[in-house]
Amino acid sequence: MISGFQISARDIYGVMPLLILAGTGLVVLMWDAFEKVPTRIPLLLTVLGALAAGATGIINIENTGRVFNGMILNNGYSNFYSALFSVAVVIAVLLAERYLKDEEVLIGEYSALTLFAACGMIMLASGNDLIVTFLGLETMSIAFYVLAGLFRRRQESNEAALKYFLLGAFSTGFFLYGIALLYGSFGTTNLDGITAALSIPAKSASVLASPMFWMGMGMLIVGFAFKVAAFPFHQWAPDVYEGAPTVVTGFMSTAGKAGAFGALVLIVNIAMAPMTGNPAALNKMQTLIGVLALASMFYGNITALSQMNIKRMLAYSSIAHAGYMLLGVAAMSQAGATSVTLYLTVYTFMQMGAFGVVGLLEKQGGVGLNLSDYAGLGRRKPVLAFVMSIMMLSLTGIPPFGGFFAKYYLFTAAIQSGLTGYAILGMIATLISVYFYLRVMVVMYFRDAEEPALQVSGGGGIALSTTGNISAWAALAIATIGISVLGLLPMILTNLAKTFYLH
Amino acid sequence: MGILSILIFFPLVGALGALIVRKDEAAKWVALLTSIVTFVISLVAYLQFNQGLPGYQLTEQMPWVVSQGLTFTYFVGVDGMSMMLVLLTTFLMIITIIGTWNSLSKAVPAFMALLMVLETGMIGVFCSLDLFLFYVLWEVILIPMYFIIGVWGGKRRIYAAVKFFIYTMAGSLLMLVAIIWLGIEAGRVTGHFTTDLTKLYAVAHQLPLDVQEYLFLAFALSFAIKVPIFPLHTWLPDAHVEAPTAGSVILAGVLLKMGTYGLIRFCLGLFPQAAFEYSTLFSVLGVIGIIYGALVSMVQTDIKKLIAYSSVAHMGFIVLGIFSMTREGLQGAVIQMIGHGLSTGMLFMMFGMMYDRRHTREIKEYGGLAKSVPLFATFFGIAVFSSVGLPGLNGFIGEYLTMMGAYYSPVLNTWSYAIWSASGVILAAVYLLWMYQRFVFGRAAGAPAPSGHGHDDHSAHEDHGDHGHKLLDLSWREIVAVVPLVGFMIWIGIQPMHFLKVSEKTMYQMSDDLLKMKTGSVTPVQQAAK
Repeated sequence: MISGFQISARDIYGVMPLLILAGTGLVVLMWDAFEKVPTRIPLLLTVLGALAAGATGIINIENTGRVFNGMILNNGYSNFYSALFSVAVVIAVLLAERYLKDEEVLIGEYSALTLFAACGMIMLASGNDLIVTFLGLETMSIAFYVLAGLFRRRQESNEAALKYFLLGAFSTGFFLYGIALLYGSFGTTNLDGITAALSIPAKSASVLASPMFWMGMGMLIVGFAFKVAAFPFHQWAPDVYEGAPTVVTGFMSTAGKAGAFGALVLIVNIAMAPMTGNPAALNKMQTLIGVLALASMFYGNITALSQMNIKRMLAYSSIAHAGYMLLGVAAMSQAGATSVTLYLTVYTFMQMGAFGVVGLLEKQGGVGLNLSDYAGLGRRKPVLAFVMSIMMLSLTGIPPFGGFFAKYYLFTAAIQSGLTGYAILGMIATLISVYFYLRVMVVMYFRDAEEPALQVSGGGGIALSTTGNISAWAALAIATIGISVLGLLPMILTNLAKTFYLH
Repeated sequence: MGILSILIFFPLVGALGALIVRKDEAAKWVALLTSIVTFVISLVAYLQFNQGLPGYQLTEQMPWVVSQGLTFTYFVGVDGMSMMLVLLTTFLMIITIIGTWNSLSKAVPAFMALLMVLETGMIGVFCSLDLFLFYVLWEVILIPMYFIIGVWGGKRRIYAAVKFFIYTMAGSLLMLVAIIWLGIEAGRVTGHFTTDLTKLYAVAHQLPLDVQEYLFLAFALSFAIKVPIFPLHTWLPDAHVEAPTAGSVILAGVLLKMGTYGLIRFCLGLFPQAAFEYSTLFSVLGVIGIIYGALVSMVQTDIKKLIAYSSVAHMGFIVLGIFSMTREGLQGAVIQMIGHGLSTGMLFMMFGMMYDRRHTREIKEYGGLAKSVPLFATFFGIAVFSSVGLPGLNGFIGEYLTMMGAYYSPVLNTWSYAIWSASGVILAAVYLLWMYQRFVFGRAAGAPAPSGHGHDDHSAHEDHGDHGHKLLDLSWREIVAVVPLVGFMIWIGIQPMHFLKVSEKTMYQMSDDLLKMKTGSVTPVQQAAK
């Protein structure tokens, strides 16, 4: 195989979004290094590069096939994810301009790292081989480790980076070991190979009966559960999300999750689809992932109830959202895969929108992150409060916003696969979440500010700089419009989803 | 775009308008004009509506989400019952805006915009013929109501708003599971996932009885919370008491009806077999609600709370009528929904007018209103009598019909419910007339206390800042708001057939179908009623 390995133009074209992002990242990095006076050029380059990558993804969405010797997918699924990550990069850098300026960090290195992380995510969502998946996971994670520690002088930021790195390295071990055991079971790491092996009844029966497969699968899932911060592998998440720069947290908790789920769905829902022919194994797998999903939902939502720091609250709620999406994975069906993809898309918009508002209201040095600081925001900053309300309602899953449709698809997929009990418990978990999402609105609209912590005053505050206002508003506008449009016209996504599984 | 779509979405124009004009007065006028135009549109729809047909009319259907496996349509239409409720909604909205014109002091444009969004949601709920659309609108209603209570409400508004939201959410999430389940079952039968109500009837009736029962309970829980049926009513007094007047009027007048509407449309319509199984349970809860609501009302010292608990009692009659499943019971339920919307809405609104003058909800702070504000006392008295169920006014018709239905019902098969609920009528007379006596007659508040009550009245004396001012009687604006309500009360009371006939065909057919399923044939009582 290796001897015959040749790279053709088709291969290059198949990974175009990835190449565009990587190239942009390199250019931005170099520009940043040689730039004497900070300008907006790195930001513009990043946005243009990401838009180009996203457009390429959308143009190629009807492609079918594999490139690089069957190692990388080039179909609707992978190209859709490429576009999603590109949009996430656009929002992330636009939101960051003013925030980073206030914190006196140059936008160039942030942009480059974001782009590199997105490259890793694309590899994850288009990896048709567990090795590529692993490469993607590492590329993404390493960029994230650095991003979490972007505020070199702030202790919490350093702590976040170190914690994330140590625990992340540990989980990588699990992941690799899982791949090794799966290789032992299937004799291949290629996902097509795994599908083929599972499609042969005799082979499938022996593999699914072997402890090696289940050990491997379990470890693989542990590795993913760590990356998506699912209970009980979430321990790092609240500290890292709180300590990392707010814009980084926004990107990490959405696109990062999307990357990991992109790969997990590819492996579980698509490559292992033939498993549905073996009810015992299917049941085992559904229980394995389903229990993880329920535990995450309940743990995340219940813990979020008592959080007074808004970043921590969103961190715990993101654990719960990982749980919802795991339920879509547990459905083990194509409908489940579609629903997770839709959920990730909507989730990216709403969570980044929420973090965007938090970042805009945060004062230098991480002040203004307590819920009580938001008191009376409805009067002082009506537009920001309005955007935040939409994000909260959407995160809760209230129609007519995108979050509702995404959740609806997820639960439908779960019930279609016979996971009705899980779906009902998931609804109950959702109900718990209503309280803390509503509380943000209660504070913003129903309470008056006792202490105007966020008002424009000395000591650096939101009015410290005005550059970047436009880009931040643009980012919030993208997120808000995204949520509303996907809420009213979800068929935009569901139509795209039809292309996902063309081979 | 058909008439119903225009009707549903027109208030949104007003919502935008109210936000754009920004000035308080202008926003009120925008909202008022919007609600009047909406009412006119609903009248046009009513004129196009053929009362002689039982099924859904003025239907419009277009695809909304079409994808593999999942399809939802934008599907609206009305039958006799929903036509009545739509008219109630659009009518009550005008009255509410006029009646509470000066009650608000802050953020008026936002309030008016929320009211308009609420109107869109309410009309939409009554017109939806796709369960998915129904669910979306059902949930959308929560948001404006939550803000109306939370921003403009009384002292404990945050508690009340959050409680209202979470209670309603709790029910509706289970309903969502049931909707999805039903859609998937439809997919199994017809080949593709659908939540189209007209297609689901056939699907639902074929389901195994235990599945029907689960689904029935999931739907019924959601509606029972909204109605509210005892013992799920605890959010209601809080929400009513803390909401601003306009919020209370809409909540009592229309929002509660969404629950009973849902019980008829979905619980009875989709799962008749399960409804038979549970008719005893719900009738018992309905009767408990009637008596419990009345008894709790009796001891209230807060007028808004008293009216709120009286709602629990009145809604109990509707539940009883629904689960009697007879022609009389269902027709009574519909007319009682309208009647309760008018009379309780009027009670809340008129008390709101007094509250704006005196700023207290305690009954003992009032008294002597008959002398100082005779017009107010008269109109309030009419509302009270209508609520009591005095013959000649609307309340009597609904209560009489529901009790008659319960008495004859072959489903309930015993007359004891009718007897017990009749005691609720007597109790209603007790608590409402007693309240009226203390509120309107007697000494003016602050007058020297008779001996023996010295301690009780002490606190009242400390807080009578308003006492001594001359209370103003109803203004022209307020008279304009209450006269149409009184007009309809008397009209329904004297000529109920004008109103009953709108929903007659729909309800008769429904009842006949149900009873045929239950007993195998139409009962003699039914024949006699023809």
